[in-house]
Amino acid sequence: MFKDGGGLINPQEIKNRFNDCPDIDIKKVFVDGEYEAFFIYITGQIDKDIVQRDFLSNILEMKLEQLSDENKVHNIPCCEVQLLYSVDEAITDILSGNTLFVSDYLPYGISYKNVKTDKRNIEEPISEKNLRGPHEGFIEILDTNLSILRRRIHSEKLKFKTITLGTITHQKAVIAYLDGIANYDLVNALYDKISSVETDGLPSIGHLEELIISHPNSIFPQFLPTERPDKASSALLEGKIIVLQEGTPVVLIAPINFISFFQAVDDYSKMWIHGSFLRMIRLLGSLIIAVFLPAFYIAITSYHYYAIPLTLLITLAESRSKVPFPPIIEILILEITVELIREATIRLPTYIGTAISLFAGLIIGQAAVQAGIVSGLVIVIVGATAISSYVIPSHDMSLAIRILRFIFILASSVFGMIGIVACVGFTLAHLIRLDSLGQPYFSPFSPFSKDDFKDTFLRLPLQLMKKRPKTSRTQDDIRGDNN
Amino acid sequence: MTENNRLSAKQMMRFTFVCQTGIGVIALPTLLAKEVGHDGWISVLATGIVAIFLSSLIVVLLRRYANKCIYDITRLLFGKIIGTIINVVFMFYLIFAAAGGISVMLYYLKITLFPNTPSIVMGFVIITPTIYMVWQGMKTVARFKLVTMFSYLIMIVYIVLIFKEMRFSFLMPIGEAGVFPLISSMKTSFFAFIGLELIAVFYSEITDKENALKYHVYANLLSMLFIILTVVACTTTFGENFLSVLNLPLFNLSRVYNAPIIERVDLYIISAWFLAMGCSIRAYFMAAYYSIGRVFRFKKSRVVYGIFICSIIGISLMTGKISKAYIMLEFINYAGIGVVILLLLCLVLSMFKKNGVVENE
Repeated sequence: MFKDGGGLINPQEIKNRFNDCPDIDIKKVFVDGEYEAFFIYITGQIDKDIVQRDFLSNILEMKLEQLSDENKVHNIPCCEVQLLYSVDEAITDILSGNTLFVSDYLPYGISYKNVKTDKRNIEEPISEKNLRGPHEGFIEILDTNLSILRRRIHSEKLKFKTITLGTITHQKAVIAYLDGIANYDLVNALYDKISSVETDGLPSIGHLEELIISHPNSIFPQFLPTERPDKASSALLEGKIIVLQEGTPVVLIAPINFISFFQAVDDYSKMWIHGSFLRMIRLLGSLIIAVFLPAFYIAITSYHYYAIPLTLLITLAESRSKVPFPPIIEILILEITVELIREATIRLPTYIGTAISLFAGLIIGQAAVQAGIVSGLVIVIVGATAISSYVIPSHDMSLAIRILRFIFILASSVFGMIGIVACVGFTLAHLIRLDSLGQPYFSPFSPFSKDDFKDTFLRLPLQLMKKRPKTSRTQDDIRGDNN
Repeated sequence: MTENNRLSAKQMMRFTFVCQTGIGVIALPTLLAKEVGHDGWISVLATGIVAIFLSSLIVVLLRRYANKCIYDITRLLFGKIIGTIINVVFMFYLIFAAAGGISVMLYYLKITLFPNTPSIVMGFVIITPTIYMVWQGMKTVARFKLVTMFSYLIMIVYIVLIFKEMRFSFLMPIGEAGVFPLISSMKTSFFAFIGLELIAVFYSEITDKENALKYHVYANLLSMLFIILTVVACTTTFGENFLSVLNLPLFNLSRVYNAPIIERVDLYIISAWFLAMGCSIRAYFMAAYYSIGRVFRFKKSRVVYGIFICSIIGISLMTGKISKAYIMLEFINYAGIGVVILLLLCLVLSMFKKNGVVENE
């Protein structure tokens, strides 16, 4: 008790620091009717009724002597009361949305946590829809996301490590993992990486991702982003680690491998044969058609026309005879148009986007052929390619595949099949070289892992996948209690 | 020695296997047909057994020095000056082997797919993945070999597909060539097994040395089986007379199958095999660059690597005509035999001069 003033937290200093901050409310009160004190809070971030009922009224009923006794302060009947001993702590606390009671006559500030945040409903993520799985997604509020995970994994083994990031924004990032399953070395390595990030603030989780991945200059994503809690909890059970960040519904999963980006939630919520069929269609579409088809067309028509069946060669020659451009220009015109349409439809509101799609469909379809800009076969090839690149569940990997396609197109236009072979070699070499949190990215292909191979081209029955993926380097390899 | 250069004995096995078979198997059936007619496979079998025996002796030598590679062993056995001279010669052998491989590959490309493209342009295209991988280290190069197995799988499936085109009576009578011609042809067959000496360069990087002997024997065994398969496939498909006038029998073999719709299956087979050929060259490329570091004791350097790449491409383009490339390759093959003899000599010397030998090994 400091009856003459001079407590550890000077209210005037806090007031000065919050100069020109009209969203900060400072309510003056008098303890025992004579000692000046203040309640400080952000107007829009507290539930005033509850704060008034549970905190203000209780504090104002107490004498200065009682308020100076820590034990009596802790007995205030509200959930979360905390004592603060410095101005910096007090400022951070207020900015976190808490209500602070402070006076020159008290040795500490009393903080009450009752943050009211405006949040959207928990809905299915629009970019990760599924048929048979749950329809909930993460939201922008970190605490809600943590509770969603906790609701899915009823175990004290689910642990969260919190890190505050951004020298100005002071955002929280959380590393979630399962104790006894996840590899501690990997957890600590990720914690150290995130802790060492020095920046003013992180507007999105993509910023954090770019700062912590080992190969930021690669076109391939090295952490798996998702908005789906079922995907995140399933990753935790596999011994992987989740990174959540305040203010974004996207979480990152690590370590992952290349094939993880082609695995969809629906693969596991169906019978294994159905899941395997979908997986194979997806890999065929996204890897074979989306990457190779346009490049292959250019190589064949420019260099290796003898590899075309005679009946098709005649049709192709007729079709190409009306086009003044070489195959590479023909393909590039259409591919770039498709990319432009794709970008435009993402940015535009749905009702305009639909109209644009229809209009674009007409342009790149019949009109382009009639105008003699492209041949009919190219429309089919680019159309099949565009659809194929949509089947990849991960948007990041879809982008990587699109970039890769352009590289293959350019290489095949100059060197034909050997250009494609050189690009395949280079791409595979790059994939082999990459790692995700230190774990080989191209596993289980190289280095080969027999157990992990069961969930690659096919999704084999769950009974055969008793072991956790080797990529996670788990402490406990076997799923369930049979180990 | 860095973490990026470490590899397992199994990876070393694939490394050796691809190094031996990627290029060596393409023209071998014709060379053997010229020397021993339809008995080429017997020559390969006999040479394979010898190669397995020699490989075992090389690993026995390396095991005597526990954690050392050939560059350390020569210094211990011959002294610092002579040892360094031997190491430099060995290093140049590897550089020329890499360059020779590129020359031959460029020639193959010229006569199969791109007759008009300048060699220098094509050289850079086929070498780009190699430049990238070797810079990343042995780990990346070794892991890539596993991916190359896809090319071998395609080739084996293809040989199964043309099974009905083969006439095994072309192999009869067995042993018609006679003992002495067969023994003489083993020199030609042995050229295909060159690559077995590379374990001496990377031995200190192998993580599970206790398995090195086993997997090195497997590597040579697999090479022997694969080469026999291709020699038998070529001989039974073309017959010894026609085979002896073909340039690239393995690629000619890919034109045999008449596939519906695809029309020219050879385009895809040859393209896929270029991955294996690239890997074969890369093995020497990696060994040469690694050796420069070991011999001159310097760390990873962009400048040195740049000079190294330019030198290799320069040497590979120097040959110009295919006849010169083949002469260079033959010279390299003889040098390879010389290296194997050197390794065996080291083994014998290590019995008398026990400096650095780990007895319990």
